Amino acid sequence: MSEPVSVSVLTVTYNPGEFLEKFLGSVSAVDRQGIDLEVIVVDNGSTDGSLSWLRDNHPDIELLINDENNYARALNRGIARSRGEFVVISNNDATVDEGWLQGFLTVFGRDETIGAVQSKILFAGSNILNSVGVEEIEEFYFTDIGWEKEDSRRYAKAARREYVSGGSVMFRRACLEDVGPWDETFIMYMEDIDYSLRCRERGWEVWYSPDSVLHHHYHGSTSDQLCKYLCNRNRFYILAKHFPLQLPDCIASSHFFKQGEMDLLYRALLSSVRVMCEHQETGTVLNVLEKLRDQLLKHLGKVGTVKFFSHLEVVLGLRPVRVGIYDHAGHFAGGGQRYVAEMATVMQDRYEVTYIFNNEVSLDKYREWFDIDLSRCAVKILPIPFFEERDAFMPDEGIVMLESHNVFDVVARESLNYDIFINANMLGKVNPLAPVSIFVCHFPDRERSQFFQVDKYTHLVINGDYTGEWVQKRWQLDPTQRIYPPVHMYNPDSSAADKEKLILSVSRFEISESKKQVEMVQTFDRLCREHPEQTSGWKMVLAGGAIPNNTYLDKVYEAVEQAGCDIAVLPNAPVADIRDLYRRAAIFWHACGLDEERPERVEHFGMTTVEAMQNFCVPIVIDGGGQREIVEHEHSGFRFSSLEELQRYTLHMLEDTDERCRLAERAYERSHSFNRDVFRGELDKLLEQVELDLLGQDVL
Amino acid sequence: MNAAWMIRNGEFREIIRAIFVEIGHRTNDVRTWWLRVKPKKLVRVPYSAYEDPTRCIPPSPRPTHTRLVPPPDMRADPQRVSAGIENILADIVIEEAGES
Repeated sequence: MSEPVSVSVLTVTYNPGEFLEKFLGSVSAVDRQGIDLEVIVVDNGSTDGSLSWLRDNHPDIELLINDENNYARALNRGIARSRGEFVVISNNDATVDEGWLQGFLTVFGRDETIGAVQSKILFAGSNILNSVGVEEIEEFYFTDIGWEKEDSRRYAKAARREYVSGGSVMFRRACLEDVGPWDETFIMYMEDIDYSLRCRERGWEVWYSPDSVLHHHYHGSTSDQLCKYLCNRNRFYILAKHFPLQLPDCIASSHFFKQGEMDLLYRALLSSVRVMCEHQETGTVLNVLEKLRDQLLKHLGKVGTVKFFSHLEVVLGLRPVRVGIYDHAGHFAGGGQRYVAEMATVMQDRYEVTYIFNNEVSLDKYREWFDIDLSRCAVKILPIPFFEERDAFMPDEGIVMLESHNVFDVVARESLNYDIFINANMLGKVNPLAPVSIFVCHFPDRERSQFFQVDKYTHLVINGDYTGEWVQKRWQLDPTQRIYPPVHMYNPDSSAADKEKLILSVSRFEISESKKQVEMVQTFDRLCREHPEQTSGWKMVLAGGAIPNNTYLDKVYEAVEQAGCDIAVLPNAPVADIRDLYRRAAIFWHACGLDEERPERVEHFGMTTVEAMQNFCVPIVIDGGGQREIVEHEHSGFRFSSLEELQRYTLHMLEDTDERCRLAERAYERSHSFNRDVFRGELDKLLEQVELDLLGQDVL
Repeated sequence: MNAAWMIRNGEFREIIRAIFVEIGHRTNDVRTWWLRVKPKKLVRVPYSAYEDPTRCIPPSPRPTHTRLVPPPDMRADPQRVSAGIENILADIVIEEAGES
């Protein structure tokens, strides 16, 4: 009596439902004469209770839990655990005939070079064929032989095939060991085509057996969309691995191309070239890249082609990631500049960062203004001819309306030189051509108009909920991430108790008059006149940036002259002075947006309020815009809607020192929600997503 | 505005103002009507010299997630591949806006 043949039956499950019970029932009923059988189930993350059913009812079956939902990986895990001389891979939404295993073995007996044998797969409950092998139809699209045909004598003989289906196939262990693991980059679909090719490349034949019969219920466990996507992507993988020279010519026949899904085509081609570089020699790769260039120029144009090959360099790890940060207003200090400079400080340690300005700017200025070191960033000056001709202080997109072309295209062209392009200061007409782009929005100042490009950015980052609300109202766009500005003005010498009789306001002297310094001067003057006893010894300081020839600053000086109280105006004071003012000030005022109807004239966030809170100042701020997100009324400060309220809340703080100290402590606690650590945490999340966009590979 | 009330109260400046307001309304009505019915001229303005065909708005459905993976273990020589890609990029000249 000869030794029994050991056979391992391996099936991969993902929410198999009742089919698994039927499948295993039919397997247990097969003719096992001369066969030593083991059954292995590898589960890809079922949640339908079938695993507990399996454990309860089939303790003899080995159950492996895959660490991710990847069919090819599940096969590798199962094969690695199996002991059989022959290994069957089978769908489990099926039942098998009694002669299922014997039918395989009969064909294997024909020749030692047969590495794999596929069953006759019928649609369950019918005499209609699902598959008796696989063949190429055209341009590397594959189909089941016999698909939807009635079973007949034509399919009654064992035959050699070019490809076999993974739906029900037995492998000789020697073949599996010789060919190696299944390619997990396929995830699922067409991995059997790849394996058939690899078997044949190693000299193994693949066959079909009419005597091994499986009845397939065709219960798909994946969506049609996923199936379509992976089949089309994996077609490119097959080409990249086995027929690389054909890859460029097969772009136009891909479903991605035919259906205009050029973004998916772009992604699939990138990962396919990556696969090609892993499997092909240098000469072949270079040859294919040249052919690919010609095809891409035809299908994607010059911009798409340059973007593809530049992106490819990063995907292949041939150069570091390049980041371009465009700030058209980088030549003067503002909250927006500081926001993106904080981003740049983090990114310059990970990537090659270049700041793009339209005017001459030295990054040393950022150290002077914000104490931020950008020494590892490069600078590129990129004048925009349209604005150069008009001798503009900085580009203003509002005047670009009637031009025949987008004057910001010069910046768009520059963005193509980077892998990540960051539009730092809300020029909504800059078309981002980098593979990944970030539009940082501090507020949507303008409505959508001609050349509007913001909807083309990969990420739309907002500085607070107020901005987010108006991004949706004005642009009908959903922000992708909210990152509050980084505020870090802590001073170990500051305390709630050790304060001077000083009311401080820090905001730019805007010529648009939106910051309301004049109104604050008048209110402080009135407060002093009406309550001389309480305000005795109190003074006020107005600090903030100011551009040259600032007419509004003149008005502020005029208001101060008319007032009869102690008020100092400090335009463009150094950071050290501002820091000292925060330490000394007991109360902080912010009135930007008072009595304004236009949302852009209300403070969008209000970094200086947080700075003051970090130094135990009690904030008394406008009840509007981003200030509502920062100051909790009567808990960590006050929010006013009129100058009368500003005066009343201030008087209350002047009169009740204990209460002022309590509010100052709470303001300090509240300020931690907007500090640099929180900003960097959120930025890390953004960069994680950005890197996935740029370099990530598909997983389920 | 009630004309009789204005005349009775001698508000002649208000009458004149109301007449001009009414003329403004009527003129605007005519202008609106003309804009609606006048023959439309088709003006072709290039939206941008740098359209990117690989970007679909909204993006095509991609039913997978992504995961970072290490750079590939290339069988091909990375340096020669890098040089090849650089050559390809150097050969593609993109005209500045306005050129063609």
